[in-house]
Amino acid sequence: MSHAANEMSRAVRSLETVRNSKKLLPSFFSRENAENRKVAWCMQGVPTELLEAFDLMPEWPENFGALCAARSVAPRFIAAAESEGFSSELCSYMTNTLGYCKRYCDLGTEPPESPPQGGMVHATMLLGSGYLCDPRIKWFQTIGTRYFDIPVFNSDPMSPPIDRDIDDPRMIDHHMQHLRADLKDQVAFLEKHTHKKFDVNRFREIMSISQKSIESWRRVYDLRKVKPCPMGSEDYFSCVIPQMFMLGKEEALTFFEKVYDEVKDRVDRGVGVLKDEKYRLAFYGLPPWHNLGFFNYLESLGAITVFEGAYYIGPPVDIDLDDPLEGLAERIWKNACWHHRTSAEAMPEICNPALQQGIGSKLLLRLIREYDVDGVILHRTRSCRPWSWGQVHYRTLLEKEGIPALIFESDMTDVRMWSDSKVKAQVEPFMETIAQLKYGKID
Amino acid sequence: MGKSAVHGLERLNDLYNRKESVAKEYRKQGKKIIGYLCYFAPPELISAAGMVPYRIMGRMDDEIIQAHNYVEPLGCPFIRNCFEQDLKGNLDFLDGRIIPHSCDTAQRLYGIWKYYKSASYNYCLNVPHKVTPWSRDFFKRELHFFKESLEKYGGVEITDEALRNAIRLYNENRAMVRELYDLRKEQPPRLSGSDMFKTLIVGMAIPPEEFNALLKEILAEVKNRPRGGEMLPRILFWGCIIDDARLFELIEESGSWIVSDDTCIGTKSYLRRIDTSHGLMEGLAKGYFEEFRCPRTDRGPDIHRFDYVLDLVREYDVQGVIGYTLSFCDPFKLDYPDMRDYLSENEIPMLLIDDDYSLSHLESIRTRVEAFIEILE
Amino acid sequence: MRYAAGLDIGSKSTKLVFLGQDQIAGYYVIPTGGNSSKAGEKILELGLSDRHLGQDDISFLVATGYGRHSVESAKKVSEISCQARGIRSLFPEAVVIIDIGGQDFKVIKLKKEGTILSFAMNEKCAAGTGRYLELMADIFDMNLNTFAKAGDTASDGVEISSVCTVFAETEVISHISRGAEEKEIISGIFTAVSKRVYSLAQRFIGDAKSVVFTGGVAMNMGVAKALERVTGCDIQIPAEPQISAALGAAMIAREQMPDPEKGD
Repeated sequence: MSHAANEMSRAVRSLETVRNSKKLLPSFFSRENAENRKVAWCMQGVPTELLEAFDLMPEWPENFGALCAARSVAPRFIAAAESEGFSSELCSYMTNTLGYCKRYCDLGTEPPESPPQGGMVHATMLLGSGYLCDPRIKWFQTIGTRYFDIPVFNSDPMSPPIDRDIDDPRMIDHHMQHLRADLKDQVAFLEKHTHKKFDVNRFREIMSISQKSIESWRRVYDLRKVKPCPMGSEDYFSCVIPQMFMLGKEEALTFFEKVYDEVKDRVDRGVGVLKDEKYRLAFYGLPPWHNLGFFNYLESLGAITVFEGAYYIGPPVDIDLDDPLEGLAERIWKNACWHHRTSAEAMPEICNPALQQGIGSKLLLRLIREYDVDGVILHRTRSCRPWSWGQVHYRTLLEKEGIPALIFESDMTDVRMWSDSKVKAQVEPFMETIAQLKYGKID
Repeated sequence: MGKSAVHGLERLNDLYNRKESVAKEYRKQGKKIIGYLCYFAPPELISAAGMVPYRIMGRMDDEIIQAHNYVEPLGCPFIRNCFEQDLKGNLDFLDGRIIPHSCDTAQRLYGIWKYYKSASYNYCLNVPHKVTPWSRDFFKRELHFFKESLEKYGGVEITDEALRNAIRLYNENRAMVRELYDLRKEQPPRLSGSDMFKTLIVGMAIPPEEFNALLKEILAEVKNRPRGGEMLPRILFWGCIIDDARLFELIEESGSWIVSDDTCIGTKSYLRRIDTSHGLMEGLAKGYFEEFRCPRTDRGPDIHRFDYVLDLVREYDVQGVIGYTLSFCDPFKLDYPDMRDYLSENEIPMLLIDDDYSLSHLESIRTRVEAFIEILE
Repeated sequence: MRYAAGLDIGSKSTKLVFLGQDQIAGYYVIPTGGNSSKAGEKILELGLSDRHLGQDDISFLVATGYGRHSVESAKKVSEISCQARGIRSLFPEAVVIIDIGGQDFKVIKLKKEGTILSFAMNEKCAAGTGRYLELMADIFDMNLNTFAKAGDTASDGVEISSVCTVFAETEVISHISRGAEEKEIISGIFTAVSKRVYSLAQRFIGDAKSVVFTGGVAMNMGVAKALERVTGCDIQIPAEPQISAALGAAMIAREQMPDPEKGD
């Protein structure tokens, strides 16, 4: 069946602010003129505030992967990568990009099969990050070796293992020293390759906007505890876009403030996404970007998702903006400490120079109660081990608490692994289980 | 098979078939046995603490069943297999378990493994992904914290003298292994690749003093063997951790000699020497991190980061490279296309064997290997 | 005269080729059944009795294929080398060979002078193999011969995106229930097979303008046409694709024969 015929391939957003994302976030959606700006291909873990300070235009291959998936182009690029000898088990964001690069090099120009918005603007540098998973330090290394002879920088924020004493001043110093040095090295690299001096004052302003954005966005989380829930995952996953890609920009701050206002207004009026909210769910793992209509499908069964594991950020941290680079290092460490204390025994690295985390097991069990959740759906994305690993462990913990949990499998980019009927065949019995538990009967 | 176990290497084969036996003996005598999953954790430190290091290994014939109650059926199958071994009780002779942050699966499994089956000593040693002045310092400091934790657990102090002694012993191991490798430069070699790997695997399971003794025996025996044997194509083996000699036996049975390798249990560990002239911990940090060329460490987008493999190919007069990747192994699988193409540019053919740590496709592996060797002939 | 013989014991079928003076003197194909060793014995018996020959009339025997190790008296050579030899003798300019069999597919790249440069195999999953086609033919309740002719050789057909055979079956069934044309669905199946194979073969094809397609599935014209479209290359097929590896084995056997026996 062709992708367009997929029932779940398009999401219907509930919040008006989100429906207007493209208009409200033009620097992301209508990629600005790159002529006067240097283009860097970046990945999660690269602090957008630094990109902003150096006036770099970022392209995000991970996001490109999601876009290619949504437009059914990903399988072609992934096949090109496989023909190079890149195993099909590898991260599909990455194989999508590698295949794109291969095609680009073969043709000498942007591949015609690129999604309608076009391929990625050609990069002058690659900014990677060792944060989160191994493929990320190899990804740009491979592109730099095989496809494009351009400078590559991989940051390497070192995170404390789960059982380290993070209150020990020696441990704090041990990690902070490295974080600082790593950030300074990144700044030096950017200065060299943009031929610009690092403007501390500008960076301070950007960090200040970023802090406000984080606070605004974070406040929305609590509003979703309310019944009926005013916001679901189909909107949440759009909101993470400014969080991941645009922190430090005014656009993002305005957007988050608008989202907050709209959601607050719904709470004040007692309006939820669903008129008849029967079930409250939590969602774990990466979303099926190419089939975000999955959440509308859940809504059609009377279920609303009230919080998500992916991209969940901790409470905003106070940082010293006098030395904003030090402030960034502080933010990284303090966020990591918060995750550490939430029992991140199943999580990947928790020191993230950008802002994207997850939920440790202790916190998960607390949030289930706070949000009054009836069940958890976990998405095992086959080629993404960082986000998939730990789900079996969480399911065990949830079931011990009497909370039904379903793990269903697909992939975040490789649409060849998605099947509407297969997903429904798993979700429906799961919802029946919840119905039995909650209402004593199946609808 | 014209290369049956050489007389005198009987002890090696016996030890290979009962790898845990020596460690279990030491445990009976009251020693603590500390298991480690990967070579980023220097066993010298464990030895210097008066404990017995044991590299945790899996069993390729064992299916992973219990482990999947706790972790996903994704990620490194070798590490999952090791976890399975522990859940089955096969690693109960270990008092301690060290899992360095060598890769995603190792790091993620550490917390889950500890949650469900804690050892009496658990440690996750952090390892930077890049080699920079500050990451070198970071790793050195990690080693200090690691040393501290060993001292605390063992109720001992790791003195400089004890550490110096341990490093000396391990350096002796390395020197003798290098001698064996040098002998394999002969054509044909007097020591098969499978026997060399068995030696290395056993070396991971027994204390350094025992390994020294075994190596002396093996060296003497091999040097006494007459020259001459079958002239067969010479192979270099590249790849992920492999702790089962059957694959090497299959490769050599198909009509070749494995004369060298680029593996962590082989040349990556043994061709170096820990140099303590700038300090003991400095030497360990250099040998175990800075100069340890595992694909999980970022060496930059330079094809010449594989030059050392070409050097090995020339030095050992190798005709072809056989690569081995484990399912889901990102670092190795991402190096493979570059490595393969670079070797090809230098007219060295490469065969890749991808395995889920079970050798379940042994027959089709055999077909590939045979076809590959036929190309080299 | 004495013959060189090549025996290819595949997982589904067993082939035997007798080579005379540079010509195929005869060939046989039987199903392998469950027992490779029995299949080898049976086909030799069949071939020898058919030609009124005895064991001694075989000067040299080379065995290849999945079951080659069960033939004690033969020299064993991989089917990669045998396929390369067999195809090269039929197509002296061949540099890329695609062999799609019942349970696996292989791609072989040859140097200009005919020796093997490199190869790759896929035997981990059914997609792209004869098995995939069998399962699909079952859905239409057709035998393989009929199925092979039931597509539209000029069309790519419907899109079947799943790489997994089981999911692909589900996709095909939903195309049928949607009312798509049978011809189009079957063409889509042939295209899907070609794409799977191309994903492995692409690197080997490089700039080559033509590819030799062999193996049991090469008898399926629909797949051959789809392969042509997908690769953009000229597809050449031997008259008897099933026996090309056995032929290669026989040629290697012939090389091992003492000179006088070759009768050159």
